[in-house]
Amino acid sequence: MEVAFAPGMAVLHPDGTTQPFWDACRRHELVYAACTSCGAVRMPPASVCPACGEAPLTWNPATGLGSVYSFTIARQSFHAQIDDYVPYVIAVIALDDALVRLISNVVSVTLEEVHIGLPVQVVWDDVSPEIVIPRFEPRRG
Amino acid sequence: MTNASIAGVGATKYYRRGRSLPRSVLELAVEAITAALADAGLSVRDVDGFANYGGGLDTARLAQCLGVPEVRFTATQQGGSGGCPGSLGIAAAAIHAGMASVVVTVNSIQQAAYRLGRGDSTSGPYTAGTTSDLDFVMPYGLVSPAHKYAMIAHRHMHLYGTRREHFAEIAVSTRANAIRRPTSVMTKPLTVEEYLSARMLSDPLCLYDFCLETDGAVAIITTSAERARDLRQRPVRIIAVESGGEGQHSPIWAWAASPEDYFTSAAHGAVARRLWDRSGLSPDDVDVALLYDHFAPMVLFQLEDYGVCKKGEGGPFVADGNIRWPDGALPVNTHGGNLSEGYIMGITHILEGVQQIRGTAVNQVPGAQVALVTGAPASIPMSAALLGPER
Repeated sequence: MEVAFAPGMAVLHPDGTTQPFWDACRRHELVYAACTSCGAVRMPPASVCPACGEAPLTWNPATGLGSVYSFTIARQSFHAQIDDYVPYVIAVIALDDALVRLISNVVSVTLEEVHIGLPVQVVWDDVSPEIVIPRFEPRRG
Repeated sequence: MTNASIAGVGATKYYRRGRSLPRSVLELAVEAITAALADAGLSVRDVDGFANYGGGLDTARLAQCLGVPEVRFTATQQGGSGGCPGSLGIAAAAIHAGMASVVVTVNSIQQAAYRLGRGDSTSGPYTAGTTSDLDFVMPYGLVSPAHKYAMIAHRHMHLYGTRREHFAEIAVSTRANAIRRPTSVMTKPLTVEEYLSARMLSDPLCLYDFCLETDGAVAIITTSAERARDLRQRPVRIIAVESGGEGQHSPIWAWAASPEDYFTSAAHGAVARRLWDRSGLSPDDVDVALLYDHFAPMVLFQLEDYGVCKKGEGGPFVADGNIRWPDGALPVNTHGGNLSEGYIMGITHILEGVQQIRGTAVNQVPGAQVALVTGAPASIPMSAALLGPER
């Protein structure tokens, strides 16, 4: 789809802990890991809760809505797989749902438009049937 | 106070990236170590320990090339340049424990086959990662340290009104220090206007916010304070040295979710608090600060982390001329730093700290009694040391 960015970078190495996140992405569902016992967010997911020490984690659905917490406009490529994709926007996205921040991209946006606080929503980059990457675009209208 | 002192320092010249070829990384290291031993008045036959960081070197090969008769101790800090002054802590601990008597700390770098700032290097200390954690970072093109520090700087600007002119003051003042030194790679002054009109590489970071890419080696010789008193140079005591960082927020992907104060910092808060607590000193006691400068804004955030100025006030603090040599309240990176002298993964900061305390620095702070030396704002371990004269 339109949001495609550097497919050569979209190589995943999921393990038993992170696999459910990427499985959900394939269903176009954004989820985040939290502790079943105390509710503390664990993103990226961890097998043991650093807050309470209990093990089980649960995957909560996120609305996919958030805002730009901080960002950079990457104008120089520091990776051969990205040479054709500069400039691009890397951002820390604060999800509206919970105290979750994700590193992602802001796409479908002019560089002048990007600012801290910009409301965004998730958009799915279907790299392949196996690999789907969540990125974010401005909320319109 | 540790009971270890720095007895000798040595360095190769600093080359622009790749220009040290056909010399090898090992050859550069041997040159720096040999120079440091001569500086101390010691022989390679006195060396029995190695304490390194940033990936280190193969001690077996290094000892063989140098002619070290027997290695009793060798250890390397995890991580990258964050652990630079922390390697002095490893040396001091080994000396304190009687596990070594003369310890070499060396960094030797040659960015010909790889470049540290890139995300696709297949050799060198930072190779391209393939882990389940990095899946939350790499697909988005966050491949260079620059990208991370740019976002930290941006948030700091947003919250505190910090401006590019403030970052410019760091780049410009550091360059002014560098051009007075024959060792520096950068030889021409930098103006604020040049800084502000420079190419943006990763907004808000421009070309002059980035450290240099250079080749070279620096070595430090640490021994007991008692032994150092009888050697050639005025000993420089390792007053205190601390390593580590906050357990919950250090890795790059956890940093994104850390509390606001932490996100907009150099992540040195925990190390800084321990350094002051355990040394009994305060920021007011520091005469010269050698702060790790991979990216200019991170110098400003370290000034805040170490309590030199208040949180959020780093911009106005530097704008008032406080970090300028020789007249500022706290001259910073008098050697020209990673930004303008040479980038040897931060060990030039230790070298300058030693020379300031000896009283032999090119840009000498008169009567300097306490030098603060820091490693990179990075993942755990970060580290810092306080150096002072023998009393």
